[in-house]
Amino acid sequence: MFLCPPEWLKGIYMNSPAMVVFRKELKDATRSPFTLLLVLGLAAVIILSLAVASIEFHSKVADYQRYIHALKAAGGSVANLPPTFFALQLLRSSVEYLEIIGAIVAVVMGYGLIAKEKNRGTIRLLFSRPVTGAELAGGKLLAVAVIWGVVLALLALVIFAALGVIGGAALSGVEVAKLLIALSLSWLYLFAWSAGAIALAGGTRRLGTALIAGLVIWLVVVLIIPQIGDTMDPDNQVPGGLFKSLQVNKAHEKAVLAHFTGYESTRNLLEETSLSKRFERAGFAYLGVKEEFNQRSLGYIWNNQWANVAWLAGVSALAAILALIVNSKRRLLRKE
Amino acid sequence: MRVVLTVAGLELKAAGRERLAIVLLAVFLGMVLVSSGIGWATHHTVTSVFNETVRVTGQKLVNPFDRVSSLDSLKNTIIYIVLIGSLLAIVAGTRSSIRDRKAGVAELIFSRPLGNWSYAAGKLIGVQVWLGFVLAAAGVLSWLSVWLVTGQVLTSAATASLLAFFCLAWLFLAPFTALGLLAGAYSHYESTALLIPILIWVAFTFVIPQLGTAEHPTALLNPVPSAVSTSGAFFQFNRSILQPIAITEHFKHAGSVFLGLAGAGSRVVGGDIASIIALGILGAALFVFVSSRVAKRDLYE
Repeated sequence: MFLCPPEWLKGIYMNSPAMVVFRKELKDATRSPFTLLLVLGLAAVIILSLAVASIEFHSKVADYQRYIHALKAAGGSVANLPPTFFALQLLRSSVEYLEIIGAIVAVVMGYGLIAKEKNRGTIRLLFSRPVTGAELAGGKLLAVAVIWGVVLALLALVIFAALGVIGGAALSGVEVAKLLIALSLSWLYLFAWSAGAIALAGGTRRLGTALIAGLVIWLVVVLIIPQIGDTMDPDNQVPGGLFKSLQVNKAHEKAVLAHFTGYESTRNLLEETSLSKRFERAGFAYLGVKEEFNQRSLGYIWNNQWANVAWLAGVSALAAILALIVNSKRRLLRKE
Repeated sequence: MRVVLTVAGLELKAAGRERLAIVLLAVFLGMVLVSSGIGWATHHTVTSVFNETVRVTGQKLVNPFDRVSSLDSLKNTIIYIVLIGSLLAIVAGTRSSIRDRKAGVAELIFSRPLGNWSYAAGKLIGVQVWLGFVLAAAGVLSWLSVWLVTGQVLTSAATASLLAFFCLAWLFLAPFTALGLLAGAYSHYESTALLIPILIWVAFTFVIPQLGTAEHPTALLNPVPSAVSTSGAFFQFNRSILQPIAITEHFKHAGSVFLGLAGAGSRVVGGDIASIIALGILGAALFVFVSSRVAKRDLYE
């Protein structure tokens, strides 16, 4: 009885046009092979990357044992510590896959939701009913949010199972919480991409242009801007490092770089405008991929990462608002 | 052969009408400009850092940038072609097949005395020809941008290397065009027609190299090919098995050699080119084999 929703809420769920669109999208998602392929594809790359990380760790341990054995045989003393196992660090590649591949799949998903209505001609049929563009977009956004929620929940199960079977690791309560936070950040990130693609598909006259524009934005945000940090680092321009090749000591290096603080600040600022970089930084912090955050408390990580989390939430909200505004009846009914 | 050329000509006309070719041209030229812009900014900064180092240390030093290839500022173009070039080739191929099915043209075409080979070859040639125009324009812009960045006109040897690089890029895009055409002809849904080749592209670009090197996906975005980061037998074994089909790594290697990048490794590129051509032929053969059977399938969205 307590779980039964009030009548007014039931009324909204059943009768509001946005909810009708939402329910229809969920039904389509269960029928279309897209969702199944999406889950299987992402699960496959996550399992593979976990397996690779686990095997790589064991290879490093074996390399270390060989090194110790050889060192002891030569009469030397051991100074280096053995590689330490942290289960969540195995997920580094998984976060990177969601960052790169998840984003592009999210673009295709968002684009597909508008494209199918235009391609099938159902957009005209939809607008022959008392429904506004914002309601249509609202229903689709809600569906995207739920689909990504379900996909990530399924991936969470895959990760828990894979960490246990492949990594041989049982997670502590704090580690489970950190993993769930990282997955929630992934949800925000992927929703932002899908919402942005819905806005693009609704806002452009030609669907082809929307798709290409989505891919270009993906390229700029996921690849070019984060790469600028590495590419524009003066020390990365010469094999082995510029200062090493010039045989310049640290004191001189600092004195030289003091004259290029403007350039360095611009480089960092550019990096920080990338949603992907923000997602990566926060995700890596919660999973302890960056040593600075490994085994730290949730409070410590939050104090250092709240700006990245706020950025993710802000961009997601902005993309959703844009999708609601841009998908007007007039725009959606334009001929290609 | 006349039929093949007719189909290819129609493909070119359709691409022009769809404006996809223009958008792609803008993307590729933008890509070259970004790559060159980053190259110019870093070249300028490194030279300033070098001059400042000479002033601070008071030593007579040799500028390490003098040893860098004149085409070094274009190194990011390699990775942009691996990522955006192949993705756009997939999109171009998919939309080309879907276009015919959506308009009901596929059924009409196959009601005529037209062989599978003619239709599939015409489609592939048509898309590859306009991708070739786009790459040619990108090549010319690259040549000009290097001139602007370094302040020196490229030598004939460097120009030939640049030409070889863009020819290789054109070959590299062919398997992805064929994959897009195949998925567009086969799938019942436009969204899955895009998703399936994207997942296959992910496998070629990230999963296969990762299985052979243990590198993280973002590390695979470096323009030079990845090295094995561990001595584990698992990775050595995978590398030897998967090497022939790791075409993105083959393109990165051969591209780095053509652009004269440091860290490119062996100068031998015959195996790389053979792998790229073999996968292109395989993709085209698959498309020829299945196109007439599947292009008439219903398209639900």
